[in-house]
Amino acid sequence: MGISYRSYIGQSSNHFSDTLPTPANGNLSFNTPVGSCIDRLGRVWVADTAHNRLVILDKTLEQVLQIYGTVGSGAQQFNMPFRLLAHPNKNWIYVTDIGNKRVHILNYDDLSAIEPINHFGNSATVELKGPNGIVYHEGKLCVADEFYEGENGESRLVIFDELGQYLYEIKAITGPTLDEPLHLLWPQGLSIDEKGLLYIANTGFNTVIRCDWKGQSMPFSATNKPYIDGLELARDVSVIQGRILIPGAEANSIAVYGLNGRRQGLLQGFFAPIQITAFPESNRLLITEPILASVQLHEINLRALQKDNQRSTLVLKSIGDERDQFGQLHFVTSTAGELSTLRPSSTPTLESPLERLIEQQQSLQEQVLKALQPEAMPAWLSMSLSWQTEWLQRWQRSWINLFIPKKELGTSDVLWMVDAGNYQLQASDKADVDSARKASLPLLPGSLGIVALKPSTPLPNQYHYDSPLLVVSNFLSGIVTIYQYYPPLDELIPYTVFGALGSEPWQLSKPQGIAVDPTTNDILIADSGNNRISRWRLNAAGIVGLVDVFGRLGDQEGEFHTPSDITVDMQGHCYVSDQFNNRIQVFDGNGQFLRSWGQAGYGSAGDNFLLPTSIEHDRGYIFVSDLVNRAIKVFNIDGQFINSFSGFGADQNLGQMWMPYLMHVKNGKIYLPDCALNRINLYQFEPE
Amino acid sequence: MSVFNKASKIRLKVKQHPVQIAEKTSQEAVMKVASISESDRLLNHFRDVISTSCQRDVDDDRLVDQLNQLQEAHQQLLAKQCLTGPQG
Repeated sequence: MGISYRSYIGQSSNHFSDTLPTPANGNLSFNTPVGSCIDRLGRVWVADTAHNRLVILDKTLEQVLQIYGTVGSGAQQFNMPFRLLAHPNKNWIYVTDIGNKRVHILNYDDLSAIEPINHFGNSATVELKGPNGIVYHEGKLCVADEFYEGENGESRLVIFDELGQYLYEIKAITGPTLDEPLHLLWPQGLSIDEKGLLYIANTGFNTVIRCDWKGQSMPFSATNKPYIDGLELARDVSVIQGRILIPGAEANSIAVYGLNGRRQGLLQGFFAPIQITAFPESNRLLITEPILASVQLHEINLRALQKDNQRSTLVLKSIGDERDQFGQLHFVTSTAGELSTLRPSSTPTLESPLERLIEQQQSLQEQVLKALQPEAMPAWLSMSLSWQTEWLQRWQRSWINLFIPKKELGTSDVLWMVDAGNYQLQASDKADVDSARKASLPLLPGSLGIVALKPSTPLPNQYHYDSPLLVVSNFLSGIVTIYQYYPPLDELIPYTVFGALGSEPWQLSKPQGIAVDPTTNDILIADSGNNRISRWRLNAAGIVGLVDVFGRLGDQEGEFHTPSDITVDMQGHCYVSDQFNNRIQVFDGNGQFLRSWGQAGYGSAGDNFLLPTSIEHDRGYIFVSDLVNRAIKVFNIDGQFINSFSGFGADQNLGQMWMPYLMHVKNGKIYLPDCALNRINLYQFEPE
Repeated sequence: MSVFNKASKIRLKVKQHPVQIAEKTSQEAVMKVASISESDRLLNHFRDVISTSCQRDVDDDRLVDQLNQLQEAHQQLLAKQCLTGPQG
């Protein structure tokens, strides 16, 4: 009864065959690394968050010196180690262990011995709900408690002494220039300047706030406001060389502000950077790129950024593999199809000798390319080369795959997965950790949602009618591609495409979830950037045409604020996860509003939602993946809560979630791709 | 009002009145025009590849050439945008 976790798909490569120390190049695979710091011996510490461990490297990033921690809640264990902080005067490292809701203090010495001193934040005195960013100043620590729920839902900062003794908390930022207090919502990164002022990445409001250690606002002289706004995203902030660096404030870049709050410029050539740490050598920055599974050393003179100009850094070093080995997933976003059982099989998935040979050759290719590259490259060139190499290898592998005999995929009991980071569809016929394998030519970058569609009659040029067509949305280009199974090659190839980027009715902007209406076989798309739903029909001639669009930006009935996913029941009623309005809306087949349920709020059960991201219908039940609550919630079609499963963390034994994306449910089997954990969690729902 | 609703209202207001950030809007307009033309070009590439591959006497060299061009178009798109996970 209820939802039970069964297993997962997605191989981790976190074992070292050699004794440590060992060269980082070719041996190190990160899984969404977030935090970093430099200790007093100049060594680099990285929080390899989804691998639940710390990786310690030498200051050149050439050698892995030590690996520390395993998954769990014991003294030397973590559940998503997130941010790291080196004590300035002692050989201590603080680690925010967000999944275990505590902070570790670790002692290190020059012999690479690491000993836990203490952990705090999970006692009766103070219970942290989501320790994220951490900073130190004059014997005190400040911890951003991201998921703390105050009286009106606000988060908080918690101040401790350096040994973890609770001192006080800050729930709102106040000051004479403010009409009303600034509230914190999901604060993540923290930083301090030379005077010890606090800078808070207040993610829920997309602002960076400046205040003192009592929560008194400290306005910027250029704006007379104690915050920087107009940011696309504010997940982190770093004050370095008298500049305020905000990664992701604009896509693919780091925004740079002066301490007066005036924008100085933009560092370009990144993907989705998070933590920026000042390196001991001047003008060097250590930057984590969680989605790329990489940690990079960059060189830039921040003082050269003035008058809002744009610069590219020099990349001196980049470590971490591509997460493209056999069985691995990299930023998996959605699934379609079905597995016959969610229990792992007893037979291992074997890599063919030819596939192994290709991987070895490509690994050699990467090493040769790296050896040929100059010591430092502009960030944009480094990123471009890295992507081009990745793409070249995808194409090589796809072409070679045509000649490798494989088990036929065109049968039933296949789960199709959009592996966006590897630009591929992958397929699996069993619920094994390492069972994913490549199944298509490279996809468009930005491929996101997928749904299976069975036409009522065979279509012209459809090669294998028994296999469903796969409809794949592309978040970046607004194009939707329909793939078909092609038996001679045992691959998926494009059948047709539709859509284009824009806001006209026949165009799409940031399309996410897709569904098929069982009563009409229409394709419905959550057109999130246009805040509407669009309905398309694949006719018997194999041509797709637009049927209808409904909805617009707003928070009234029938309006949307980033609709991220859609599902349709057997009556043709459409259920939409209206993400930023924190509710589910229901429409009839003509797009007329019928009802809605849900409101903003924390809760692992019930109809409180915080950014409900994905929705599915299966046999009379509605399943909602509630992002911030990290919960799968089951309702009846009237919106009455039935059951749920929740868990924030990275423990693969417990079915926990970090960044669950587009969920798929069929015959009670729940397939939940997590694009940060890089795996698909498999759950079974059994109604009462 | 809860802090969640307050944050939602602010986000909604920014979306409904994008002209408030005038400088940014002009940048977005330029990017959007570029993106639409790129998107159309990519779409046409796809259509060409599909129609070529469906022909009975398909010319392998032409198909490979088209696929290579498609790959280049993908790379150009890659250099400009990124996918960063569930929004929020």
